[in-house]
Amino acid sequence: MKKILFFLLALGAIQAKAQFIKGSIDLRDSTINRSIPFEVAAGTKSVKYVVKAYVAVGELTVTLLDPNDKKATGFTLGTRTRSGRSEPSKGEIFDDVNPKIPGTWKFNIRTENATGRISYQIEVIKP
Amino acid sequence: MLVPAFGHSQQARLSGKVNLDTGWARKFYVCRMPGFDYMFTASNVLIIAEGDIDAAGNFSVNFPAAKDESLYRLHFIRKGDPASTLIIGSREVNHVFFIAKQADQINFEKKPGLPIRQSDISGGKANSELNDLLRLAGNDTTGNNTFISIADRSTSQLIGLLAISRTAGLSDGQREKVRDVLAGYDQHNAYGTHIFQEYRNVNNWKLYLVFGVLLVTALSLYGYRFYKRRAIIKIWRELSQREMDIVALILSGKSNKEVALTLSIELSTVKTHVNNIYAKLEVNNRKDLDRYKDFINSHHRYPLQRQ
Repeated sequence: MKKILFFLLALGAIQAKAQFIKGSIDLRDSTINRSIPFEVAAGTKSVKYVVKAYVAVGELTVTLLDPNDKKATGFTLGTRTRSGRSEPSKGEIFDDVNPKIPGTWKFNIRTENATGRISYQIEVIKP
Repeated sequence: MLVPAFGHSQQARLSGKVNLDTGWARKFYVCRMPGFDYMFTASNVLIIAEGDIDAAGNFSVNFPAAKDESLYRLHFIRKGDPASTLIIGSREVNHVFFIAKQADQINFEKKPGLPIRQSDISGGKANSELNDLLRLAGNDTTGNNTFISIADRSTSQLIGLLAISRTAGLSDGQREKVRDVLAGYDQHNAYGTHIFQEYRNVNNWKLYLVFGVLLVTALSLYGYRFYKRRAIIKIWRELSQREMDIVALILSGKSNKEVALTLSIELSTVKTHVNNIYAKLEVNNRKDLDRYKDFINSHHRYPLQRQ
């Protein structure tokens, strides 16, 4: 019993040291404008994020904005070809950064008549 | 500069050597970036050339190039990924940027063990400057002065514009410096469209400010005069017809006695009217009545005589 209690306390302590945000969005001819905010406290050691997007049709833009709404990174996927047909595009961001600006950071996801999928995982290692 | 061995003069040539592990497809793609906003856009319409990588890791391709420098992106894809794939971040980056113009020979080499983003791009001074600039741009601590200094020193307008595009929150002095740098640039360079516009807007903004201040001043003066005129008309209309007649005669230069004779009334009656007029118009003497001169001609049946 003591061991279980110790394990739960240790797990709780680890959880308190990090914030995880994970999710995915299935797109079916979808037009969305969504924000995924996450808090970065002063002295945060690092923020690790992975965003993967695939669109077969339509357009998709992912932007990481700092608390001052300045773009830190991001990509845009388009699917139209010169012949007017659609061909899939894929974009990925893998990064591990030491954010210098505390506050609310956010990933903005904007799509226009997009069919595909986007998944994201954000891990904030707290001070 | 090496002259590429191809006939079409509106092309440039890219040759390279790359060592990729088995997870990567043996294909490469060249995209032309029509503007800096497209640097992190993956779209099939941007792909202008593609080819296969041979077993030794060598590849080459001729691609359409303009007379002036343009920005290009060379990228590779993992097996199973679509041709239009962009991977960014600190790891697994699948692309590099380079600058080329017609007849340029660009050489790419990915050194074993290093990521694609640390590959060597040669073939023109602009590409070594581009590598330095992108490395600095990836560092959060790079300040505006560094970017402005790069723009000032570079002989490539494309490099200069890219450096300026990375600045933010410039001071007045820094903006002035950027304006000086831009003054020597071809204002029709498509990569600078937004930048030229932004720095023109600053000048326009000052013009608009001056125009706005003048407009507000003019409107304020007009409003004041309009209000004052309305107030005077309101007071003027409080006079009786007889009092208006007397004011008109006084303003035409007649004495009380002459007014009495003109209107065939007693002098004492004129004096009473004059006192009432002074009280209603809030004046103390005949000279103060001058402010009503303008209204006599338009509001009274006895126009004033020219003096």
